[in-house]
Amino acid sequence: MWRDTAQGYGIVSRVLHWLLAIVIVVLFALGWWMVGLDYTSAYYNLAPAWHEAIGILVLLAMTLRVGWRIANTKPDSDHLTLFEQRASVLMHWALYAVIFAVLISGYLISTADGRAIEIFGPLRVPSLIYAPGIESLSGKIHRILSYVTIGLAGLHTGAALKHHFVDRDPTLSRMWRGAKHH
Amino acid sequence: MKRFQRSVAIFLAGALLSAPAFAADYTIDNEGAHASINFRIKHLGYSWLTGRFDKFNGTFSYDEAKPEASKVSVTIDTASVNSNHGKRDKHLRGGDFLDVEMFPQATFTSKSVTPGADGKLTIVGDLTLHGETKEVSIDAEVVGSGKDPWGGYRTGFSGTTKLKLADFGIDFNLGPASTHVELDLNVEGIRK
Repeated sequence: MWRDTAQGYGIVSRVLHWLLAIVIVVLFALGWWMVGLDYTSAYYNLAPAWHEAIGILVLLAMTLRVGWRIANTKPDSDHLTLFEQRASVLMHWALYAVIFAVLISGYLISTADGRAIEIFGPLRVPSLIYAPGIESLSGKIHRILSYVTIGLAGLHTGAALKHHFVDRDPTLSRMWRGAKHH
Repeated sequence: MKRFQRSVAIFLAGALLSAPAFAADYTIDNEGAHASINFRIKHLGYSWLTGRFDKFNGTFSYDEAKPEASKVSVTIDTASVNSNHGKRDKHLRGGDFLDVEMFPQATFTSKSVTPGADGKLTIVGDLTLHGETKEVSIDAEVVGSGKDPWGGYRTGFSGTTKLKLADFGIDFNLGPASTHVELDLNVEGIRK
């Protein structure tokens, strides 16, 4: 039940998948909104602080997710064509790579000058890479790859819906309900 | 003897008066960082936020006997803005403020130098910032001038001026107390 098996995804993968899907979209929207805030907005400092704190939690969750994926059996995709199997594997790893790049570039925007990121008060993630001046480049990478992430997530969602409603195969349902029990 | 003294005095006076007013050319010592372009702007009206441009270069010519013939020109790398806060500097480099990708340089070129009392100078020139060129007036003074211990000759100035950000098309609203930025300039030149 916890682990992924050839028959389907376990509870850990499923919870991480849907939690990260929601939080990443929320983070994108929060980032989009916060960069347009007026200086006098009550959220001018608060929104970026939330964005950073949630981003660090997503970094931890993504590490767990990819680690869990590697440590577990990949469920069979026999119902997919060979092209679909290869395309889905490519898409999943592209999403992981781009999301990590967004998270790391975002971390650098806030920490390259030596400052830490505070996670809702007491927890502080220190600056690990001191590179003052890199913030603008990091910011550009962060912005572009955020759009790429949402674009890839859109394709991923479209493909899942196509499998569910057009092909009527278990691609989407097994990420929701998990393995069929034999 | 009196006669001799008088002729010496006349000779010296003549020598001084007829001294050719040749302006010496100087390079601003950014290599040794004996020059700085600092700015300050009020934060909410409660304090001063200071920062500087780390990279710039320039030249000036100056003749003590004829300061009105002086000239100065400076080019600033706008991306080198440094307020000791990475996220703020990123914001300052971006489209809300300096837009350094579009406008990588700011320049100042003097048009006139007017001497005042006690070595004070009023330097009027064109400042190009954020793609907008406006005339600004810098209140400057000579700090000192003379030989350095390493075989060179140096002259230094300090100066201040005040800019309205909106005059240069920088209109991000920082609040009513923060519409203007003051520049504190320190320049040391090495004679070429």
